[in-house]
Amino acid sequence: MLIPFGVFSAAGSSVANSYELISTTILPNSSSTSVTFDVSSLASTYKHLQVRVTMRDTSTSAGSSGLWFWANSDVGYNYSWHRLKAGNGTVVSENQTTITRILAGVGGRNGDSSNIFGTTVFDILDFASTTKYKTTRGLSGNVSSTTSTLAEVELTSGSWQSLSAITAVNFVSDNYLVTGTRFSLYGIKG
Amino acid sequence: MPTPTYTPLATTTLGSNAASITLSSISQSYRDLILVINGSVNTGAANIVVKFNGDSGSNYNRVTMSGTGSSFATASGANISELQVTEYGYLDTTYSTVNVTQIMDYSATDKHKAVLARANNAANGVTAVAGRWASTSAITSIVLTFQSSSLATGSTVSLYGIAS
Repeated sequence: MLIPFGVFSAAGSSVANSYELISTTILPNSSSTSVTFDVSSLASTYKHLQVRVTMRDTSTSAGSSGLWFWANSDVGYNYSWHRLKAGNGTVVSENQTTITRILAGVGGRNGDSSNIFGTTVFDILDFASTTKYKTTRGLSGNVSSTTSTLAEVELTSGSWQSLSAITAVNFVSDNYLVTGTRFSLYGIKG
Repeated sequence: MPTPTYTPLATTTLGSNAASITLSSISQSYRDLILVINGSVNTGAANIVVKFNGDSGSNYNRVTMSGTGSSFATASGANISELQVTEYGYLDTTYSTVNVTQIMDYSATDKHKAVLARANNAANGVTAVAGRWASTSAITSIVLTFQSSSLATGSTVSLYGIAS
């Protein structure tokens, strides 16, 4: 069966304005370990945020690097996270509490074959609430060229124990991010 | 200026069983694709299998993580000829499987194509998949097959584009 395109009417013209691209950062060089989005003006428009990432860093080892999140540049011990991870023939559950950042997902490394990037879809719920701690969730994976041992897929969740509205979204990698690494920020209305 | 996106590109509700479904001439105007399948198969049980640009070479890699109701499970495959985006969240004839497959940077020519998928079937289990198509070609078509079964009448398949 061949599905014709544009069957929703003219393709692109029937989009409800409930999910919107706000900003994309594509790194032009390998001189940064972090990416920050200023979201201070978004609270009146959006309920939730989503960040879509394809990432690789300068580590010379094969495997995956961590992608970490914090809010409002708060590097205090105000976070907790869990992840369920599969790879190398096992499934493991891990968590950290009273920690300085949230594990958002994983990225690729320069130690792997060329052109392999890890990827993460990361959601930040009720980011502007002043009555709730902030909750995140992620789906992430990095399928290394040595799939049998180093590829991984994971589900993450996190909490920032603060009643402050999030005004800045900060991501940092274990190493410098390589050219072509991409972070896209989307707003979801509510 | 914010850009509305999650743009519907194609959808179908099957009027008859389909052994394969082809999404072709995919617009290159977006950054990511999201494929949403809600359905069952006409006979037996089957996984959803994806190929890009008609490539049947040994260029697909994947790792999966599943919950079966009583245990965890993981599987992986390297240099295989297709990308399976289900595992324990497989299709059967009774309960609908919901599969959401995210194809990242599908139009990039400097990256292998990374895939994230979630598959859920209330009777069989839940699965997360990370996949990679070892090609820097932009994805212009997607072929879905269902092993020895067909996607059943009434199942839905939709494709969305995500701008960046």
